[in-house]
Amino acid sequence: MNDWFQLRNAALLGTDRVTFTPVAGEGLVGALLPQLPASNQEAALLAAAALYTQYQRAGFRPPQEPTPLSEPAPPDDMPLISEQAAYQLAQMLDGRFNEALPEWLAQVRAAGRRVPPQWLPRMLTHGAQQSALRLPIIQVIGERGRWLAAWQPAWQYACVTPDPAQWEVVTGAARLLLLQQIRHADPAQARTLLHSTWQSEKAEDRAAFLTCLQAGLSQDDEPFLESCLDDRSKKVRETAADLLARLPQSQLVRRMISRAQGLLTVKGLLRPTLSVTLPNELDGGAQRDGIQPGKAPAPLQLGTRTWALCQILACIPPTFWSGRWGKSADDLLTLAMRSEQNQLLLEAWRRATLRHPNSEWAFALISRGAAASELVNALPSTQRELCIMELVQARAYPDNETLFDWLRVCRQPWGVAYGRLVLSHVQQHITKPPPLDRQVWMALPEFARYFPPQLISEAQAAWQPHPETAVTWQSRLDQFMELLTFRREMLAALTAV
Amino acid sequence: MYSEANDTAVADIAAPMPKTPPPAWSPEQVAALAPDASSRKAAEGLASPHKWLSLGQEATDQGAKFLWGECQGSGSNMYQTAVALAEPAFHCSCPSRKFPCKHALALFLLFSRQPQQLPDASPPEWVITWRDNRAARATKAATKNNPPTTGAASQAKRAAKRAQTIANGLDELEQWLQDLIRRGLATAQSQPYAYWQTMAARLVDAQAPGLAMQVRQMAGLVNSSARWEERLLHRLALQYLLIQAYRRLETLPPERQADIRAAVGWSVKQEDVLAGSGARERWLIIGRRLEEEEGLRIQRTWLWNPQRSQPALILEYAYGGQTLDISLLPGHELEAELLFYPGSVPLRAICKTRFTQLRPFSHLPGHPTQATAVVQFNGMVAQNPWLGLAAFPLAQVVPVRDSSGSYLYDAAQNRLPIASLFAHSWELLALSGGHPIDLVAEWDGAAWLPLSVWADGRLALLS
Repeated sequence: MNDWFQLRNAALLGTDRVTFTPVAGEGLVGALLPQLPASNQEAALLAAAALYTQYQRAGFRPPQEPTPLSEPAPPDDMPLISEQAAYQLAQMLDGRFNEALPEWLAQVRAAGRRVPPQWLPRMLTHGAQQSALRLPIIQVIGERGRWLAAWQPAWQYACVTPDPAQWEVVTGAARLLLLQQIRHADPAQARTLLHSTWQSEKAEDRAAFLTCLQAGLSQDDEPFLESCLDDRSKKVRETAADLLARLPQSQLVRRMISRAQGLLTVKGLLRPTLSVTLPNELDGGAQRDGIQPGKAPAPLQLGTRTWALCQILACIPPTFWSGRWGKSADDLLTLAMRSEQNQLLLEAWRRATLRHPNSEWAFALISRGAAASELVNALPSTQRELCIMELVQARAYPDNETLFDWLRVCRQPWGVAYGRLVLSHVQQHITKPPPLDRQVWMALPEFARYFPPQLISEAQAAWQPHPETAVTWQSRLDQFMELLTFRREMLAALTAV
Repeated sequence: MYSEANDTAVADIAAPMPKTPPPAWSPEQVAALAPDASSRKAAEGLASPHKWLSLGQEATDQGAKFLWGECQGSGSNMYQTAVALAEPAFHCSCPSRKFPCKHALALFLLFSRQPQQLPDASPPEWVITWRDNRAARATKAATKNNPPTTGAASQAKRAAKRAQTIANGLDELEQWLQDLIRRGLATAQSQPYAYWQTMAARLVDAQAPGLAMQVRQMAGLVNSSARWEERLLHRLALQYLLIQAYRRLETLPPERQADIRAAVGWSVKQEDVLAGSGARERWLIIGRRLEEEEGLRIQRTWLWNPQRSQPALILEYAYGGQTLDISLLPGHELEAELLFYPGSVPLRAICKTRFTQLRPFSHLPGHPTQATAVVQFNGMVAQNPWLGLAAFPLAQVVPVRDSSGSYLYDAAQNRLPIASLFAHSWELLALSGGHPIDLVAEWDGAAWLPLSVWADGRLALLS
């Protein structure tokens, strides 16, 4: 009996090994087999195969296989971005202008829109590779994106909804993102959730989760953080102490103030001086509050007692001292610079200003040589540009290198006033005769990410390179204008409905 | 003066078509013309005025516009690039084998975003040369429609000679097939690529390129996974059937003769197809697939007649820098006169006349179940055993994924596989979200190859 499977097996082994004779088989097709004209075995096999092939192909019926379907994605309320915006996204995912992607994501989120489904796989893969973009990506993928993320292990980070019920369900990196999102929406709820599972979390997770509380930190967090000072893990204790040191009203800050009692004094009315007394023995609670014993870690060159005082002062809001002595930040830092302990005081107040951001203190510290980036970026985003603009206008920079370092500090799209400031300083360098300033040349691609696109024609008109350096500038300027043009179109596509 | 390497040769449908461009080309539409992502990216990089040494555009009295520009290439090279918007057709003096090349795309993109950057001017010498050459070729192609009365005898002689060459090639192929069966298909797996390649080359020599391509495809088949031996046997059997059929060609009805000639690769001349006439009908452009094989690019543009639920295939081949017509944009519809190649099943077609401009269609009608699409395909295969595939719109199917692969599933509980070579299964899953969706896919008798999905009121292409 010949049927298709015998035929197939004969063909697989070859007629050298298996003899093939067409005999009538089952059904209508089988009955036709002996009638096929064939001069030899091979021809007979091929002819029979042709008959079966055509029979199978023309008579194919799709199998009916009841298949359980996975839960479909819930409906999305958020509207989609425009087709043009989707195309620009595709360009960025292709690697062109991808430096504009963070701004794009922020704008899409601000507009309350979402990425079209077709682009979600690439968007999710991008986030899998760039962890810094995960949170902004999660915010623009909608329900469809969260649903899709469950299908690939690498996309797991994105499959959580900011739903507290998920806290004990999800695992791995997704929990950190979940906590971040909940903290963003409802700080108290995030703290309660964390507290509820605190005892069963691993030490490294506890430290990482605790770090999330820095966002939306408030006095309400104090009791929980205070309890963390007695945690088994050193990393957790340090993180808790750091967070408490950021709360001006916390018990920890008060304890630090009492530790500093009598150690800093201002003497003299006409020519006041700031004198420093180093602490002797530290109280037993100091270490619990995060004060590390021993000498300062490199590169700081502070001895044991100096380092202890530095750490104490670093917890106290600098405005406390302004209030106590009725002196401005600038006055106090002038006194500090004259003191023998100027290294200690500058470092301690720099650290304190990072924890208790204050633009007056930041200004005074930076103009005395403290690195600008950290201090400015600790300020609320609305104050950063202003701080740099004031520093530049006060001509507080010792050299051009510092000036351009400062101009690079604000890493977010700039306002028009700040843009004009950068525009004019770049112009001075572009139009002057050689030698060419490499630093400005190097900074341009970065400026293009934040420069306000509405100033594009002003920049084009103003930035006319000196003839002798024009060749070197041209490609940089072209790249600058290209990215800026792209950003202008990108923003227009996102604001148009 | 300039190389013809990347010039627009006369494509399948270049000749007598009064073409009307889409109302306006958006940058997204232009970018969709790119042959691949890297070309798109490169073109975006060149799509700004300062990359061009000169730029210009011209509106001719037919209303068709030409764009041109000179682009600074790497090193000292300067490339001359032109676009005829009506089709669109492209010309570039660069040596790229991509089509359209990044320069032509960039010029088009630049125009779509900032048309004012291309000043209105009279075209330079080299654009005129290109335009005139194109016109001359179009005229030549058009005059071919009226075959010369003399020379019929020599034409018949040539045809007889080709018929004999093919017959000889088929004899050789039959021997090869029988050899393969004698030694067994199991031995085929260990054959080097040259084993298939040599036979394919003989068939090219025998002027049977259709068969040659099938043999080349077998080389890939033996290394594919599931049921390769059955799929190979199907292919071999159909080739054997074709050989037998070709030998009795004269005894068969004309449509079947046409099927056999087409399967062998002895195509009917375009001008012979264009000599006929067809009805003005509404056609939806539902999908496009570009494949590349040994430097040959094959483009299948699928049209759908919603009144008669019939697919039509605009099939084009291009070697190297030859052009493919990309003006039939999926997602759009038009009223057109389509002429079908002869055969027992009308499928492959040429668009002879476009009566309307392309406009996006607002609804994709589809087969209610996969079974009805398969039955339609079966009917076509019953008429023409060598018909390889056809595209169908399917309504309300759910893409399903499991550890064994991807499938389409429908309300009738039909479950059919998606081809393993399908590269966009994540996009498909994302577009469906686990819900039923309307889509367009090619069916080859064994698996679906999705081409496009109806999503958010438009056709999203999976390419």
